[in-house]
Amino acid sequence: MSVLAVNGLACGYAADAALVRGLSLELGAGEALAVVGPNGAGKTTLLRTLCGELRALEGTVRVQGAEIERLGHQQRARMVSVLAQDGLGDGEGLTVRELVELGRTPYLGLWGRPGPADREAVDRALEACHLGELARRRLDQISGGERQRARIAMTVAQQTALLLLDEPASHLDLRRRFELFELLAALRRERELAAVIVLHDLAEAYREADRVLVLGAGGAVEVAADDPDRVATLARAFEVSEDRIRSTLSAS
Amino acid sequence: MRRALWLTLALGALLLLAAWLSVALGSQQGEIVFEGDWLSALGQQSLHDKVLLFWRAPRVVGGALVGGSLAVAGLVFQGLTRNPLADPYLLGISGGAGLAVVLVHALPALVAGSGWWLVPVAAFTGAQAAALVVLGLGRSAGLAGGRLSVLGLILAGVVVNAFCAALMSFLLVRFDPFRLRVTTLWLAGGIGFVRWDQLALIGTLALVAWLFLRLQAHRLNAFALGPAGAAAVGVDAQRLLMRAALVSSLLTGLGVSVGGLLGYVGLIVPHAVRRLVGGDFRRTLLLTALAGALLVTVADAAARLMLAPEELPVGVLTALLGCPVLLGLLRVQLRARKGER
Repeated sequence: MSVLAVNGLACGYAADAALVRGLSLELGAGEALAVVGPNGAGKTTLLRTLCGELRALEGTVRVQGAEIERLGHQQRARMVSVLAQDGLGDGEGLTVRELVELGRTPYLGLWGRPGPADREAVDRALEACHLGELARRRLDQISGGERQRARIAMTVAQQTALLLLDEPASHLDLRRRFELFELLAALRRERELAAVIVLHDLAEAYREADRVLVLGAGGAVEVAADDPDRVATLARAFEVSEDRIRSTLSAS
Repeated sequence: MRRALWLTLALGALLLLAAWLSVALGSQQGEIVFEGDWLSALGQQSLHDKVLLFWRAPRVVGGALVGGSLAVAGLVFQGLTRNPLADPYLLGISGGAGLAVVLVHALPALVAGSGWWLVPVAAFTGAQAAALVVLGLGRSAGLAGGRLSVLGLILAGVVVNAFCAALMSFLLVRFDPFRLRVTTLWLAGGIGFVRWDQLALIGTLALVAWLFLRLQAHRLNAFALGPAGAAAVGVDAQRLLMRAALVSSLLTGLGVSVGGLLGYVGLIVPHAVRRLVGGDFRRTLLLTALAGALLVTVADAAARLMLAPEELPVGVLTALLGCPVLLGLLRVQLRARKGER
């Protein structure tokens, strides 16, 4: 069974102004789908719809067979974890471990006491993201790359099958970007996580993801790396010349 | 965890000790002045016992309740807005409660015609009304699909405070000198006369409110990630934000109905508790309630005894204590802002 199944999806903030229309796709365990497109094409809107935060205008989103809109907040958070774009400064005053523990929120009982399973999930998430030594440090005392890793560890502790990331590398330098994508690839492999990643960098999208979804080229279309029309489609979506797309894609 | 446990036990013991001392200490002369008819009608007991049982003991219990309620309200508002400066006063909620009580006192016919519950209910209603206005204004000021913005919330609080203060001044002008003095003392944060039946109502409501918050503690923790971040870990953020804010304004209303506009308790206590045990609501909720109760119990005893038989409003003492804390916090915040640029 696929982890994510999208069928005839239209999403946006008003029915007469859908940003994405007629989107259907399936994503299996361990697979990564990159989403690219110009500003305002609906990348973040699509993520917000996939996690059930925003209602779909048409069509359905199913995660592990369950329709996401019909689930409660807590159930949803056990199936889909989200790394928002602008949350790097969140969790002020928390330690790395405390942040990661917040990933267990959807599993806690009446009094909010963490059990052995919760502690183990947190330990393993810290370990998987190489944060063992930083666990007691406060978030404002570590670097941006380490903080982003801590946020990813929080989503790992959430133990979901689907991970949605909105420009996870945008604040990081080159080395931190590589490290981040290595970490994500390892997590997908070891934990069979499916991931949808919004990216700005076209070359990065084709390098780091198995599949690429392009928004803004007259709808949402998947464009494979060996697609003969790849350059033409991307040029149309971003409204730049094909030469520019070629040089961008070959830059790395 | 162990540290929090020891602190809880220590604070609990200190609170009992302070309460006992506060009941035992003090002169009788200053207090008898306010004695009502019902006190002498009680019969058998000696005057001394009556003073302790029906005057000083409820006052001490009331002070503890006021302190605990205001401190917990401040703790929750600070968590929800992610701003250590947010407290019931800054958000205008105490102002709303104060205005409602002054309004009740401005209509003596109303007071005479109804029971002892009028003042707490009025304060609670005023706090809720202020909270609704502040949350509503904050909501419409917030961008992005009706979400609550922190800045909008605090600005709305400033406006509501100014409005309530103006209306209170307007009403107070028409008060006769005796009522003016009593009301002004209460407004300055003075725990005056409280009845046991009032306390039973207030105590029960405060306990229910506290329990609600305690059961939401782990979800309140997620607000460290902001409303959107909290939603991402499975919290119905908008709903919890509204409910927790309303429950906290209930606590504020309860506090104001007994202690008047007693300021800074909601600021000093949560700040101190977070410094000691960190920001986890599962730990801070009980500690904050105990520490707030202790602070007001001690401050009220000091206010009563320092210039005996004259009395100082407790609010004077908490303000003297709170202003430097507020200034310090402001400095830290402003510095952090500067660093960001």
